[in-house]
Amino acid sequence: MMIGRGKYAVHTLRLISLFSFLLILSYLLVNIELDAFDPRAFKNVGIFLIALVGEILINLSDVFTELGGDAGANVSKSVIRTMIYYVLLGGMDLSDYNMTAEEYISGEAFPSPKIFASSLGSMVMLILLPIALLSGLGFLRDCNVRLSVICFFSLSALLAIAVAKEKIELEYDTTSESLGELVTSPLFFLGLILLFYLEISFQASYAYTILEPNLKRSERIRQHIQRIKEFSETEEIGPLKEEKREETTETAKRKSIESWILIREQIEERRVAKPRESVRVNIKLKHYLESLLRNNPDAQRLLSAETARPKSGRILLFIIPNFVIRLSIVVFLSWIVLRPIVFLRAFHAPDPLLDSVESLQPETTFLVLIPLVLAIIIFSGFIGTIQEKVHKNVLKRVREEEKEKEEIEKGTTMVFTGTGTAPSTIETDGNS
Amino acid sequence: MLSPRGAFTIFGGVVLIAFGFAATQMHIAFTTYHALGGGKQINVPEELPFFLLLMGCIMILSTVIGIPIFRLSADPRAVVVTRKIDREKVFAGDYVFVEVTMKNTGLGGIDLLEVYDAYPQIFELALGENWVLTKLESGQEVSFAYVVRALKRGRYNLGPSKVIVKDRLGLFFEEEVKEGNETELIVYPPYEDIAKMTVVGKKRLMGRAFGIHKTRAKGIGSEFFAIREYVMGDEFRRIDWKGFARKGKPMVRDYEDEKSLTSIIFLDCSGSMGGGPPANSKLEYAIRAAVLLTHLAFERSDPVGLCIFSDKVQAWIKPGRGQRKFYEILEALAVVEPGGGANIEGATEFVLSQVRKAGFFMVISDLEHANVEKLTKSLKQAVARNNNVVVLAPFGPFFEVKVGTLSPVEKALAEAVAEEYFGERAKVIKELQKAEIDTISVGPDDILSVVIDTWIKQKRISGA
Repeated sequence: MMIGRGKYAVHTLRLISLFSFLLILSYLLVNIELDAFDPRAFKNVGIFLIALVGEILINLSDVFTELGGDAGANVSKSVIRTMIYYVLLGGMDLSDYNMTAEEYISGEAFPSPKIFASSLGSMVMLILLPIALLSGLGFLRDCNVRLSVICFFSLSALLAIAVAKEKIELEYDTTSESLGELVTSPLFFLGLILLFYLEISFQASYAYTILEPNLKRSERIRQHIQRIKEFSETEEIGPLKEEKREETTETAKRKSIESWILIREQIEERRVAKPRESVRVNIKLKHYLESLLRNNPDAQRLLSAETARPKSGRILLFIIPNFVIRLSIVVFLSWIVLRPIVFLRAFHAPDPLLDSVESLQPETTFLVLIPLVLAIIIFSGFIGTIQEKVHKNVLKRVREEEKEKEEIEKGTTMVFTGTGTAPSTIETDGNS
Repeated sequence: MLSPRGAFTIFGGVVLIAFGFAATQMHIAFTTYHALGGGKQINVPEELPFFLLLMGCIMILSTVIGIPIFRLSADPRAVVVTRKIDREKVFAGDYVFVEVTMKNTGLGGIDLLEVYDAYPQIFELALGENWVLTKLESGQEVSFAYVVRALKRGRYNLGPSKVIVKDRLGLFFEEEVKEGNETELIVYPPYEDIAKMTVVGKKRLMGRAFGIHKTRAKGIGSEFFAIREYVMGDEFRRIDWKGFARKGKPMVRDYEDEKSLTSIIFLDCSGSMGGGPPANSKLEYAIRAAVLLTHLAFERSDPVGLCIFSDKVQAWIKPGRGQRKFYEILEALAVVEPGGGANIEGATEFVLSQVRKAGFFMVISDLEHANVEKLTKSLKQAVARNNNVVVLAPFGPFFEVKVGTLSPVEKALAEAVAEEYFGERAKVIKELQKAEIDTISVGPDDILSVVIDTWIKQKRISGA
């Protein structure tokens, strides 16, 4: 019951990630033409693969027959192809691919990249869909980032294949320079939602990582302390058994030299006798804990690291604005990178460059992407250098303060003799 | 700095961009091929390369823009880790409460901070965890604690702490080991044997351990003992006039008998004493025996000195009494490590040069590789100065052989080795007996009871 408390940040982020996941999934399922998910694709890809192996075998047999000067090579080729078609495959519907069995057997239609790619695409889509679904839902269970990454890539691949197969209509003027058009285009919007899902799942994972172990730890330590507190001595630890053993040892020693083995065996036996030891240890821990909790009221809070547990609401408060700013920057930078002409114009790039056909090619993205990434990294390095200088001064000051504090503490409490630094066992047992 | 997750995101972005370019080139290639009259037209939609480029750029940029933010906020050097323990000295088997505090002295908040506080491997984590996962704002301070059980005597260091700073998305990390923030902890030998003495105390009450009680004669002698109130019959010359004036009632000074028994423990810490399982070696038992003897003596206000030796004298504590001396001895015993050879003769010579007369010398040594002639000669010198010398000799095979793990052949071999040892030991005992020096071979089971018996015997002999 305790674990459930203080986790609403995780639940909120989970809900948002679920929402974005369902949004993408429903968009894809609604907009992708149904025939893109053709289950016959499995069968066709299988047949093509087997036929491919057959073709390889046939070509290999060609090489060998050519080497051997066999005139009947063409006959054997046709025979093997017929065997592949009738015996191995048991026939297939070639009407889908606009070819006849003769065409297939004579090798004129095979291999056909388009047919193979189309079937392969459908098959991959059929595999990716349940993967995306399972990983997306699986992520909700324990905020495992791996699952969200799998889901993200599955959905992206699903979308990319659908676009490649022209089974989804995502109109976008690839030459448009407007940021508004870019953001409102369905293609970009889908990409953005995908990124949104990935980021929000990372944020949910962060909230889960920072809250869940601390909550579980608090609960675990609380139960542990309770168990120790409730522990009772079930067996009196007295010297009776020890005394008996000593007597046996003595007797053994008196009897003969060889009897040392007996003594050793007794020692081994004593080592095996664990429950007795654990009872003693638990009682000692119980006494220690009681004394600790009595003398230090914060001990239980410190042990369960409650003081180190961040507030759920605070986490959410930090995540959301940060997330919005991040996403806005990414959108803006993506626009600059994907439409470098705008950027180049702003920096007064030479007209021949701006007017060239090459400036419309996708490769121009590198013209901005690489310098931009390098600039960010250099800027980060610069920040790091400044940070280092600032921290050096701060740390120096903090250490000086701590030293002073320690000296003051030592001056008041460090006394070697007496009960000042004497181990507590003496105090508790009263034997010193 | 880039975490595996961050590296994967950038790699994924690069792969998508590469696919995007590949799709563009494929489109051009297929169109050209078709235009040249080669085969059917294969169309690659324009949106595909754009989508792949878009996703690639988004992934790379969303990772890269995190770097300056991470740099600005997260610096493990800015996290100051301090550690407090509830006591600096404990007995083996005792618990220590370790409180670790982290303070962010940096300018920015740390989204995810992991701190691992190291403790010696031989210790046992009894309660809590030695790590924490938290968020630390600028200037914020958080603490956590754990309880460890110190299992073996020695001087140990708690720490250092390892600090790992991560960003919220887990794309970047920085770590630092806070060298130099260790906290020293001294673990004394186990206290259990002394605790068991309460049982002996009960026996004493029942008269079962006759002779162990104090025999100090208070009231006579020349050494000051205490001031107490005058009672009828006290000699007038014992009245303490200053005390009388201070208290307003007659006080008398008590003196104690010089018959107190001064004991000197010679502890051999040569390499051979380290034989056996680490926690139950000859040296460990020898240390327990020394602690027990010290406690027995101090309980009766008898002075005890300690000489720890191997090739040379490692530590020397002059005979004395009181709690301070007790901890001085415990501290010396806590840090003993086996090593080197055993020079009992040198140690005896050194102690005799430091102490004119003691009373009782207890030598705890396994006597392995001992030069019998030299040993006898040096111990004879101690006897010649009216000291009673007892050699407590832990017998190697009792400590070192694990019978349970031996095959019948190994058992037979072990027996043969043990016999060989017994033979050598018998020769040494015989020589020492000639010089009126008692030598007792002990095993882990009886070493402590032998110490008690020997002590009682010495008290009787000395009449103290």
